[in-house]
Amino acid sequence: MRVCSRVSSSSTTRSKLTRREVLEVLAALGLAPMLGCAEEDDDRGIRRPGWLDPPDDTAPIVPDVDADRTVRALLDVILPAERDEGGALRSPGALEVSALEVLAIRDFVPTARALGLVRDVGLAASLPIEPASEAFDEALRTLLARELDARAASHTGGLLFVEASPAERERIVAEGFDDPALRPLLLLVRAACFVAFLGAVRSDAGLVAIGFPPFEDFEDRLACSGYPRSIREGRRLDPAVDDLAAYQARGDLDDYTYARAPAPTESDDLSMVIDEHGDLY
Amino acid sequence: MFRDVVIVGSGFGGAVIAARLGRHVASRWGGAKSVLLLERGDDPGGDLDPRSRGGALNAQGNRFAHSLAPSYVTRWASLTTDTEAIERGSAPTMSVIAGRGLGGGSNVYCGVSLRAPASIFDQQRERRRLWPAVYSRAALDPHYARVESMLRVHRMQWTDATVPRWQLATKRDFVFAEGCRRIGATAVPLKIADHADANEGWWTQGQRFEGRQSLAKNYLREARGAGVEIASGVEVEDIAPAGADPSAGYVVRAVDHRDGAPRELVIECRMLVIAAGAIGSTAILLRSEPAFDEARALDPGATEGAPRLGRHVSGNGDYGVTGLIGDELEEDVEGHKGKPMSSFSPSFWREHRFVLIPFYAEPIYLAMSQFSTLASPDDEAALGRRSTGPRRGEDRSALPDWGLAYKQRLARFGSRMLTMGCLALDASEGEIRLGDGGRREEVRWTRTDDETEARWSIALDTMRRIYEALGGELFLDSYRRDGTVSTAHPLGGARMSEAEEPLAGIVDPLGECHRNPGLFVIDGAIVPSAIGVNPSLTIAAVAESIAERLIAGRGTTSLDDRLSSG
Repeated sequence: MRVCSRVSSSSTTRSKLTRREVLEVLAALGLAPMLGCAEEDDDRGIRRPGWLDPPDDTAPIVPDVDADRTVRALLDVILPAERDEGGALRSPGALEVSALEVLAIRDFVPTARALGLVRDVGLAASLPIEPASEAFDEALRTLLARELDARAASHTGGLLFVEASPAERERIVAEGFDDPALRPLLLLVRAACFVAFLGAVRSDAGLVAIGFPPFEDFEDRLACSGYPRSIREGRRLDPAVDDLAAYQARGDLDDYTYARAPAPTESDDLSMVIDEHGDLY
Repeated sequence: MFRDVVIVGSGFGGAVIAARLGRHVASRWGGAKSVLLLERGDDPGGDLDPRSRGGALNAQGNRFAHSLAPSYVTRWASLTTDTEAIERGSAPTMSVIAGRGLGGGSNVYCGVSLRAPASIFDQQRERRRLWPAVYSRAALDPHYARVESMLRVHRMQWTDATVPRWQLATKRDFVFAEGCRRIGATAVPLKIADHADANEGWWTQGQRFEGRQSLAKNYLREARGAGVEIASGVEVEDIAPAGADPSAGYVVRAVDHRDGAPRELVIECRMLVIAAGAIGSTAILLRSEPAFDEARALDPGATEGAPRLGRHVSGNGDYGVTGLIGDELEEDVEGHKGKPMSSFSPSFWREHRFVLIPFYAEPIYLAMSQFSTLASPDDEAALGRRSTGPRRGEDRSALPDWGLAYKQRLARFGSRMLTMGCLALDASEGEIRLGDGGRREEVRWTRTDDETEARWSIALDTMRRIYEALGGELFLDSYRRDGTVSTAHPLGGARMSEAEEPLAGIVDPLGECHRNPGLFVIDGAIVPSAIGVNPSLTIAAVAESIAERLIAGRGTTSLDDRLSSG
């Protein structure tokens, strides 16, 4: 709490955060132990991420104009789009469902956590960090990009992450997920990817891609109303115009039920287990 | 501000009490006595509390979209809340999802309405019956019937020309039943509380809120009709005695969020019913303990060195998993269609004390459950038990949770996903306590009892066999991965004990605090054990039972005498 307040306060007077301040914000978010900056983690031999060195670095982080490009490439590794040979989009990935926007949503971490979606981010994540969040986001991207570039360079003999081959990028990310120091940050990015893809925060394209019908109404990016009902041949019905009862009476309405009894399990006698009302004895 | 009766919370305990007490007070006392119901969340239906700040949320399923939209980033916008504990910066050990808003858990429940098996009430621990003697299946049956009538509970059917199609089970249930059959078990239709005479796709992403049989449709409506004052957006901080003598009543300190800036609200009352759910009620009592001296201790056991408040919290044995069925089965599951739950398998109840239920869960939650991999399962001391999750250095590539291969697995969610879970007996291994300087409740799973572990192992193996029998695979299992116990059915924390055994519980069989006449807890917090089936019907039936005894003065001072005294 104290750390959070201090960082918030300092960030209102400077537009840039130092690496050390970013780490303090991360600590306030409950990420520090997982980032390897706690003493006990050092005892356990967890490798510190590159951006922590030197630990007394107080120089402001200069936003890297290429950071977004690197982070976008990372998003496409974590949740890739699929394209045909001609380059046409077959299936959207994180970028196509605006995962970058989701990652940048103010309060993304505490809100997602309050909803149980990033369960392991510390309780302190619920504390107000609004004054720092924009800078934090900027710094986070820069730090992440630098780390990925550093790892890419060591793998490829000097290439940046975005210059590495798809297979190399995947390997770098896989190693990052296996590295307790980098894993928490990657998991937060992954959270944004899947929240955008499956949570329909900015687009329902992800849900459609995995076989769900599009929302009937996505005005203001809020899904309103249930899945549209349709007749069995697929045409969507308009309750204001179509006679739903007539379709239902004819058995044409796809009303989400099945009307088919499973075959009995001869060897399983439930007569002593449930009563005639369906309750357990 | 004074009210004769204040009820805190509007779920299956509070709504029932509000309706029953409200109706009696209205008929016996007219406007001479007042009943006030407080709810910390909004009025999601938008018609019970005209002062509610929240717009009507039309979909449980898209609460996430709601919550991340800029205009909805407020603590009052969600229909659910999630509570958990972080241990030593390590894993959350128990994750609880609970409803909020007028109607409490009914805003997010699946409508499953099974009566608790008779054997539940006979459970014993250390040679003591867990449930007070007044509770048995036979004693509760009339109350179960009343609740079933209020909630319009009916039994789903596989196929029956005499019932409307919306009362039939779904494809998901048929597929589950086929899997059960292949391993020698049976699935049967469930009893469901329903509201709309149609299948509105409720629960699915974009569910119409009106499709759910929320308590706002029945008990709370009746309460309001009887003149109960309903105030949403009011969060109770703590309570205190109004005077040295219990007849002075109680003081409720709350924060009213309805008029923009939060405003402190102090309400005195003659009779106080805490019904904020297992977690919420227990937390209110924990925060209020300092205001009660030893003679009136909220937790009599604590004065003898054996505290009970916040202890013995059950997750009702919840254990959910997700998998995909294989291509061999021609049928797509289409798990998102129809009611979220409409069948279950009771085949394992007699021998193993668990039931299996297939259900629909939003894809976002299924994919996100992998996020528990943030936690390291290495530290068994922190987790308090063993975990079969991957250890440091183990090959995590066998459990991909990102990348193209994982995405392609998700691509089959819409058609081949089958989610299921067990509800079982556990040993109430959870604990509620206050964190963050006393401001926030935390829940932790202290350990897993050997019997619970064995039961879950059998249930997990059974669910795995069902997937495999359907040519598929089980692939999401957060407990085995990191030891997190996730539940939607928290019970206990302020459990009942016999009036003659005040040290064994927080409240007596009437829900009245052992040393504080007029102070009641009536909700899942007082349920003294797991019940092995979805508990909402039982919580409501217990509340009905208490209301009846209280109004009639059976075994206690009658409601009228309580209201006329002082």
